[in-house]
Amino acid sequence: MIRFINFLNLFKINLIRNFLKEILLGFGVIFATVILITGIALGDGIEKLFKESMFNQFPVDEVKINGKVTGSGLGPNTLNIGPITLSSDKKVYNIHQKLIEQITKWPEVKAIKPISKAIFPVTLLLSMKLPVGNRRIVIEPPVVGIPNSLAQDYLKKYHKLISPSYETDFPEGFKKSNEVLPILIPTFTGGIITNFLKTNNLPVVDIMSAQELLEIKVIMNYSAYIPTDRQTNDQKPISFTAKIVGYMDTRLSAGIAIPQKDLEDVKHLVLPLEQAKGYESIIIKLKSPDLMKSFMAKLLPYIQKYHLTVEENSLFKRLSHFVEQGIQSYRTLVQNFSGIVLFTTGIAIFYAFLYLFFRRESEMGLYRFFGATRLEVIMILVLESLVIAVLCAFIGYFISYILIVHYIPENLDQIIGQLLPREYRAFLIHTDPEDIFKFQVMRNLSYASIGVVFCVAAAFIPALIGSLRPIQRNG
Amino acid sequence: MVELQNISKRFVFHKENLTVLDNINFKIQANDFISIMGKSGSGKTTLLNIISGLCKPSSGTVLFNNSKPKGFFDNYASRFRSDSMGFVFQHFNLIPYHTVLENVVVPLKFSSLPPKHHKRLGLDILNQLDIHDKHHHYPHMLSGGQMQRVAIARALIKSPKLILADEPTGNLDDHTASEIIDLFVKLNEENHVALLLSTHDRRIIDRSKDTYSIENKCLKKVDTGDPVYQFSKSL
Repeated sequence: MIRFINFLNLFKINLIRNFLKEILLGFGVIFATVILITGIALGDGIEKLFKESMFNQFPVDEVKINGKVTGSGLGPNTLNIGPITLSSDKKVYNIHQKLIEQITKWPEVKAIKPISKAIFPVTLLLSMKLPVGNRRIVIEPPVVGIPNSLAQDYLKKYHKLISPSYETDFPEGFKKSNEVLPILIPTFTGGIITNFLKTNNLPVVDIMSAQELLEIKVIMNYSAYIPTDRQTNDQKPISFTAKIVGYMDTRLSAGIAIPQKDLEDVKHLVLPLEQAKGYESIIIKLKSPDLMKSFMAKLLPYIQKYHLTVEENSLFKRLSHFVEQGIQSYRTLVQNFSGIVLFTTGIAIFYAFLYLFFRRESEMGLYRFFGATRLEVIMILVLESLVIAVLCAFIGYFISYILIVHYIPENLDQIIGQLLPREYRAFLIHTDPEDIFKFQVMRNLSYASIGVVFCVAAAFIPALIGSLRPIQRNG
Repeated sequence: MVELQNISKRFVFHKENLTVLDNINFKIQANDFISIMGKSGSGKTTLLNIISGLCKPSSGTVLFNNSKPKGFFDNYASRFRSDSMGFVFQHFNLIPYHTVLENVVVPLKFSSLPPKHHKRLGLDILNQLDIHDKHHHYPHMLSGGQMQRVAIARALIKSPKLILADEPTGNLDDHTASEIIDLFVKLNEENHVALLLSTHDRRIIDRSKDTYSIENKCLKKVDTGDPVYQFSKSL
């Protein structure tokens, strides 16, 4: 027993004195562990994400609606089915009409907000230009109407945000007309809708967290058609261009676009069904967030019923095919890359530890001279490498945990956005990212232990040699 | 104390059998002071390793305290080595990241002596060898002579009956070597420690009680009073 305590004393001194040197090598273990765990989790998660995304057309069992769902267009009690009609294809349009007809009969529905067909090219343009900015929703035609009588006041008041030179940018005819001006505010409508709901005494959950996610530098030109007064059904459009320069965040923009006191003026955009005809996208407002689930359950059969037509003709087929390919190749890439990095790092760690411990082979021989048994000699190095490796593997494990549980879900849209070509950098994620990126404790522990095995093996070889041949190094 | 009976040692090198030691019979007793001469590669170190039990002979028997090792050779030899032997090396072989005191007490880490005594014992030995003021230094801060003193202190820490030294003065200048030889003589005369030194150093050979030489794989006793030896010494 006392001999064992003495042995531990020696082990402690060796560990403390060599700690700095060995922990530097341990960074390799940390790196390899993080690469392996996150790489595989990311690969798995991305594939799962794809399977549960909009391209699978709302599979009934997997749709999850909870009170936290916020963001642009998908407010607490707002469902945007705009993306279904992103294509201007006739068949898609027909489906949409059928859906509208059904949906409006349902008691949950408070109103339907139509979105002008004319806006779609612009929306697509915007979605191309913008990075994926919101956690769950990106694509939708975000539009809000401002009566033209107020528009100029807004523009004067907030012109720095909307257009530094609105006087020259906006055509003369626009200023004089008495039309509704749809201002495209990409991804900002969530805030507006929330304001709208609050004014109407509808329950709203806090969307601040979603808004805070979006702080983007917007430097772009955009153009929009301005439909003439919908009441007169005059379709003659006026076009204009405007610049948004500077930093904008959703809270600011949403607040500015529709101040609460003026919300009355927005109401006229909520049109009865007959007036919604001719528009390709709608925003359906539900009477309360609790109705979302039952509403979805009702909606799904219809979506499924028309699924084929949508698939055949819409952008989704192309998008989903493309994204599926992209995501699968991304998964392969991530996982192969993780494998390659792990392999090379593993070899490097092994070699580095081997080198470090071979330098101490003579020390191992020395211990033999002073009465250490072979087992004790081997244990000195093996335990030392074990402590370092376990410590580093744990650090790697912890970093991976932070990445998988916090960082990746919160930045998922950016990560995915980077993977897609510019023109497709937008899609809808219905599932909560936190549910997709599961941190699998036991599996990841087994991955983390790979680095430990490398280190222990690297220590075992010189220790064994040192214990077997003390002569060569000490003669 | 240690007895070698008909010891032979062969190595396989490039598929060839090399005999290093052949039929060696040799005995070390208490209070001996034996030096072993031999050319480089003649097998001096191998012989020391066999005596210390670190290397198993190809044939023959090693007796520790007149008894054959029981059970596993390695662990028996290890215990015997730990209890009865001290080692001094040509290159000192101090552990670079241990302080002088920690180096000196390393052999105690493989013993059953309670840890609270280690420091006191280490300082006592360092005091005897007159380097106690360096106990918190690291080996790279010491001179060659000081390092060898530390190595000797380490060899003495468990009060061994036998010290094996492999060319202990091989890396030291003349003056320091003389000091170290004096130290060995003193240990032999005053502490009654048996010494077995492999060396080329004539001064050690002159002061040792018996001298052996390894020639043609065999161990032969050298008569230092022999006129031939005296003549070769004068060359």
